[in-house]
Amino acid sequence: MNVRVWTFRCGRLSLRCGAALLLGVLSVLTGCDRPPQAHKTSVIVLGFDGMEPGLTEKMMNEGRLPNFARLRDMGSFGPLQTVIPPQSPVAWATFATGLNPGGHGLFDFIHRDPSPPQPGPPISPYSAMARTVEDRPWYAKPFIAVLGEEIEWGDYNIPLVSARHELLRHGTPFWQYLTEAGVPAAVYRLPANFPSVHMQGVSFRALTDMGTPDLSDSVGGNFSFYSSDKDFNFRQEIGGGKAYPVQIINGMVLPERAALTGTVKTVLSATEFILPGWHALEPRIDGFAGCVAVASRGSGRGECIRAIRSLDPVTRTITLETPFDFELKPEALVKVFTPCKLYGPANTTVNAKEKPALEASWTAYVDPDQPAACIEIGGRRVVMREGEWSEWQPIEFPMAYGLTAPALLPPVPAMCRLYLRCVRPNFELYVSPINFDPFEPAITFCSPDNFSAEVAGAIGRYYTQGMPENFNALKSLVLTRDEFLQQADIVEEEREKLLDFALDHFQGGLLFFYYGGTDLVSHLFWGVRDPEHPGITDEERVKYAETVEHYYIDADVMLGRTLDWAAENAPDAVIVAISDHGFETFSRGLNVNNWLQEHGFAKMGPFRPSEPLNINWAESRAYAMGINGIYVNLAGRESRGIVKPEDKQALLDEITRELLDEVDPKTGRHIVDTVYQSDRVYSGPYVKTLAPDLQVGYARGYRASWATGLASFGDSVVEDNTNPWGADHCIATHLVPGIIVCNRPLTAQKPGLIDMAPTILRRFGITPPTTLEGRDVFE
Amino acid sequence: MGVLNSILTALFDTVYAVLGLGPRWLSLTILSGVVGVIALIVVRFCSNQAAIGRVKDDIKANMLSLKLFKDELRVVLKAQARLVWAGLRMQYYMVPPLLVMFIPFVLVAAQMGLRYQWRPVETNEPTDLTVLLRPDVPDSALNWVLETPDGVEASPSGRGVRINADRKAVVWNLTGRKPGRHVLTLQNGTESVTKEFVVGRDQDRVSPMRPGPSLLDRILYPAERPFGSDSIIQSIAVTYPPRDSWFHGADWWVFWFLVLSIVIALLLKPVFGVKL
Amino acid sequence: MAKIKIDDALYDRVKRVADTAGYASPEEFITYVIERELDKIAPDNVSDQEVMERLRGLGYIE
Repeated sequence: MNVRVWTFRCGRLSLRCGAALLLGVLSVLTGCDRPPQAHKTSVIVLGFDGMEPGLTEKMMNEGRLPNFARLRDMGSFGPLQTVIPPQSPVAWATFATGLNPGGHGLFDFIHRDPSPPQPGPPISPYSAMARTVEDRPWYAKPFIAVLGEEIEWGDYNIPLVSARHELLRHGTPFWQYLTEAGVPAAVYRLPANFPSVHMQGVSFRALTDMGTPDLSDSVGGNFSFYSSDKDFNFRQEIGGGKAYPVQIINGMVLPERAALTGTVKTVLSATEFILPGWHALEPRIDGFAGCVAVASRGSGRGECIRAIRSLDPVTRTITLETPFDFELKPEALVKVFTPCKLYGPANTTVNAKEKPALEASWTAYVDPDQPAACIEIGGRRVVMREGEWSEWQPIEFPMAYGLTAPALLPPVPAMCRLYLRCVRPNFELYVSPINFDPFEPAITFCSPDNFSAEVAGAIGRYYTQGMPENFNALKSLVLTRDEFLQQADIVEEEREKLLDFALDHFQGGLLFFYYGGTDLVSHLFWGVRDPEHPGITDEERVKYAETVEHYYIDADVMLGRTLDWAAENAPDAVIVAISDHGFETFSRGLNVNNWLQEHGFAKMGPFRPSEPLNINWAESRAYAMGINGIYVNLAGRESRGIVKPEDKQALLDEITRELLDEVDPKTGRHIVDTVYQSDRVYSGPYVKTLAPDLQVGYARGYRASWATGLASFGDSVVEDNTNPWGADHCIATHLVPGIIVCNRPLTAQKPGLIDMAPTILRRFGITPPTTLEGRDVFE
Repeated sequence: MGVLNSILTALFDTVYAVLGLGPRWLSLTILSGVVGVIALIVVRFCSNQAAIGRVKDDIKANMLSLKLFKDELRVVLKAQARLVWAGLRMQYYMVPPLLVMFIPFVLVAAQMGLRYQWRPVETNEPTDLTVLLRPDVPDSALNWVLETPDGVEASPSGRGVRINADRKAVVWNLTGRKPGRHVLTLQNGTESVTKEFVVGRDQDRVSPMRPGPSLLDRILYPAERPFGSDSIIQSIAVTYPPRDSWFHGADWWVFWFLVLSIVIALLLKPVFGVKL
Repeated sequence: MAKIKIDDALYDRVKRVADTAGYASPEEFITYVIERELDKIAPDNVSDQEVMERLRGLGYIE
């Protein structure tokens, strides 16, 4: 999180006191926070991310998806046309707006600014779904005019110009037309919908998913892993998490390094002594509650831990809670430890050049002989056995220390789940990405503002970040496949509770509910279907042969609950289950920038090949970035562009032709199935400014390599994919259609995601605006 | 102390058996009112009302002279000095009733804290139980075994996780499966102690700690019999969640209790003929 | 603006690489490289490095 987003929320709390009454009256008048209202027409759409038509149909025919079959028997089943490229944010944005990517402005997970401010790289990548922008709310403007953009307050700068997230999906979502027409709507966890935009007029409820960050502002979430094993094999470079070394002293888990090591100068009493060397500690003096001193006996053998009651920075005196269990003598070695820390984002309010990270302390005690530990975190003690997952642990990240600053910069409320992998011989603790607490949402992941708390009050805390299955922990080898599935099951339980809540509170109108488990589990386990997959062992192929099916069955159970609920409460409801794309194995990756270089379109930059943005801009005519995109290094658009606009089309045709001809030397198969030229496949205001000039539609089994996303180079043009992420869908659009199952007969020959918005609007008697590109699939 | 606490706890349990039928804001307001009235009575009988009356007259007279002679610097300064003196005298006359009220007030506040500061855990809401031991006990003193009644689950079952580092303690996770006021039994060899654990009954008072010899703990956590100074146990604590309300929730209740009792006392002082 | 001295041979090398990398001047290239390396050692605010890290966390790229 950009902490300014939080200070904005806090600042808003204090600054809006005067405006609160007015806002309250307005919100009542406009009805933006109305309770759910009844409506005579009901449309329920369940979105199962990444459900593949072939497997779905096979399992239905085998009787393993009885509820999908039941829904099919009531109406129709078939493939659902997806979008170019078949990536979830792009697809769900089309679902939400009824527009092609040229109209809603999402073309990939990653976009690039072709001409960012200098100095800096000639292009700059960013997450396409949302960004953080400066915010000057009207009620802050008078204060900013008088006091400036921030107020210096001791060691802190209280920002008045703050920040907020901005949704980068453009176009009008169909529920806006619904709510304007008086139809209540509830949109649960739709991807690419963060931050949630509040609707006015009638009841509107929303929770967001994919695109919603964790506390560190990471869309995939940043886990933490603490291990006392110095040889732990951890792929830190992949991103999405960090490992921290710890050690165990007398059963207590402490950071690997002491904050201060010194010899006692003077012993004042059994619990008081003077320890020089404080300059090393003073910057961190605020975090000292809960520190421990470890003293060695004179001989250096044996250590004893005691909690510190107080520290006097003037006299350098340490006072302990209880005396050491041996007599402390001058010259004895004492180490002072701060507790282990969970880290958040940089605290930009600190008035210093180097901004320290937000921190929250935790401590663990390992039982002397049982395989269990007691972990103190967030003011609570959690007893965990090896292999056990904890409930959500609420924690606060202090923004400021001292007497007055915390009142102006209150702590950030958040939460995490713990997984105690083992305590002996090494202590290993996984901490989930730090999620925002739904009881006190610090960012706008729900509508209305108190909705996340209302849900949590009913079902307990839940993952608030998007894509909650922690695939990065598996990709970086911190969690094993089994441990990942345990975590995914926790997410699954939360989803089931959320669906029950959604159904219990649905009184007609529109209900959309998103289920992401089928996608993330398929990314990691669909690969077992490929007997040649280089990233999967024979043992894994057998052990996880049915894992994806297991999640399809879970999806079926959720559909069954919905059908049962509707049969009882809304027998006339239109029920539609869709997926945004299908799946394919991903066993070979094309290093697109290597390929461009080999074919004379690009040249590698001066850095190591794996460095991001490693393009020689002076000699490259094209570069690849994102998951499907290739951009022309166009003069007048790219800051270092060299291709004249009149030469662009010929270049695109040349690249297209050569890509389609490319054959994998290992398999002899074509790597690329289709190449889409943006000018030809998209229409709308964002094609010229944001779209990649080419979208590569890979053949089955292929995808862009891992390095391509950030414009890096690999070791070879085509490489084996040995990553646990062994399946994907970012390939040629026609190879990975989604599904549609509904309780009405489909009349459309080739129904597509783009048709869903007009179809839903028609069910409520609303004529879709002419800007919508699709058609009603039932008429 | 222990006997007094037992009597007070029984008394408050009886009072709340009635007050607990209504909303929590009402019980806090009624109790604040009762405390305000008792404070008035104490002031009426434990303070020198005649002297307070004289001081109030002085204050009135000097306020009048400030108003009438605001252009005469000497008179203004003199009146201000007299006002300060009157204020000091007023505080002096309030010392006896404050002394009389201090201890009962703290004891009442401690009882109220058990009802407004924390709430019982909900069914299936996890929490923890911690037995804190004296730092000088041998390692064998950590071998406590927890016996849970029907409706309470402990993890680990039986022997708890032992902390033998900067302090000595034994910890369990507790989850209440059935609502009720449960009794947990802890055993170490022949020694057996109990601790109450409240689940699911929102209006109930809780006892976050069965205290040891610490006087402060005994005052703040009066509901259960404390351990003697010869016990190896310093305390047994259950973490209860704080009550969430800006009026009758954690920390806020103290503020509103003070404000309401003072406001009610000031409003009712003519009724009781008290000079303040 | 502060100035620093570097070896002539190093400057020539910087100039050559900056040209290759498409930077407008050796100064701009040096500023970018130093900032990028500093971000790795002591990040300040939301650095380019952090942005890359977050994008990697999407799962689809590394």
